[in-house]
Amino acid sequence: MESQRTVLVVDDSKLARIMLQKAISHYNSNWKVTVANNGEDGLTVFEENNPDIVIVDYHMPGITGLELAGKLRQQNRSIPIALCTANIQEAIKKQAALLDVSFVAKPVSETNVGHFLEKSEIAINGTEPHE
Amino acid sequence: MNEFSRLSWSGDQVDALTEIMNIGIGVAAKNLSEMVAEEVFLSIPEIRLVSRSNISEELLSQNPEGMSFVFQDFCGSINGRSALIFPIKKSFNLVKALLNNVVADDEMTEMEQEALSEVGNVILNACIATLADTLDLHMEVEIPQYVRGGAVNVLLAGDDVLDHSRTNLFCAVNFKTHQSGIDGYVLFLLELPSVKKLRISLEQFLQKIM
Repeated sequence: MESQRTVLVVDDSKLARIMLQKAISHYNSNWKVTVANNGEDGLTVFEENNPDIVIVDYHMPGITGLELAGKLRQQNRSIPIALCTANIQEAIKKQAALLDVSFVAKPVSETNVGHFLEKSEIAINGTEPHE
Repeated sequence: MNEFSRLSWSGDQVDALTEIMNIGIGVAAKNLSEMVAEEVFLSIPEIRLVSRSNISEELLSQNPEGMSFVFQDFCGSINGRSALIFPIKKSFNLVKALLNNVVADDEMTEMEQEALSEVGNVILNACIATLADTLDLHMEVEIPQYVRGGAVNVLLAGDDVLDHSRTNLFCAVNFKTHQSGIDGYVLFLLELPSVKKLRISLEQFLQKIM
């Protein structure tokens, strides 16, 4: 049976949130998407909704996506988390690696979001995702 | 937001432009970080509609000792000027970070123009290309021009597409590094007819994705 998943999207841009929601629906239309528009709200929505997968913008007012990922990682050591950014600098890559955080490159596309979601499903299920 | 409303810009259009510039400057920061082998920190893009006089006053008050800048004009679907600006005392920090271990100290001054023009080219083109690709615009970019220690009027002068008194679109992003003390900002200016064309392009883009 196909698993129902909840994905938390945290991005200060409405455009980016819409693009991510569309890409997630394209990957699996049964999945639920919850959104937050900054890091602080992201933390609250995470605690309230207990999502399976998290995608966070790096560059937001207030705490950065990486700082948010650090806080989420303290609460859940295994949840798949991706930083969604065009700013994939080596220094940011190293910090992300320490937190076991992946990247989804901006501009957002169905392909790069799909790759991350597929990888996340494998990590959660321990097997290949269902078609 | 009042100025945007006056020109019939919606909140979604401003949000979309901010996000597109954010992506462009993110690509630019990645490129710059590779060039200087150091993390580059960015501010959130600030997009406003202001008069050219306001831009002059603002840049002057932020850079009382003068500025160095690389600027590139673009034309096509929209016309305007992009610039990479440094406080005059900070521009050489970028040259040193770029050319460290590549040329001797006494050759760095000679290389300053080439080095900063190239950085300007890489950073400004990343932003322009992101804007053009996302909104399907045709934008031709002219050769970068470097001015050391120029007054703000030099940046805005000689530019017949930027109207002095009327509203222009202004987009600024600050970038800095901690180790080598690089500090500057990327600035985009569009004159009013292009501001209107850009709004239409953003609306078409939003209609396609929503």
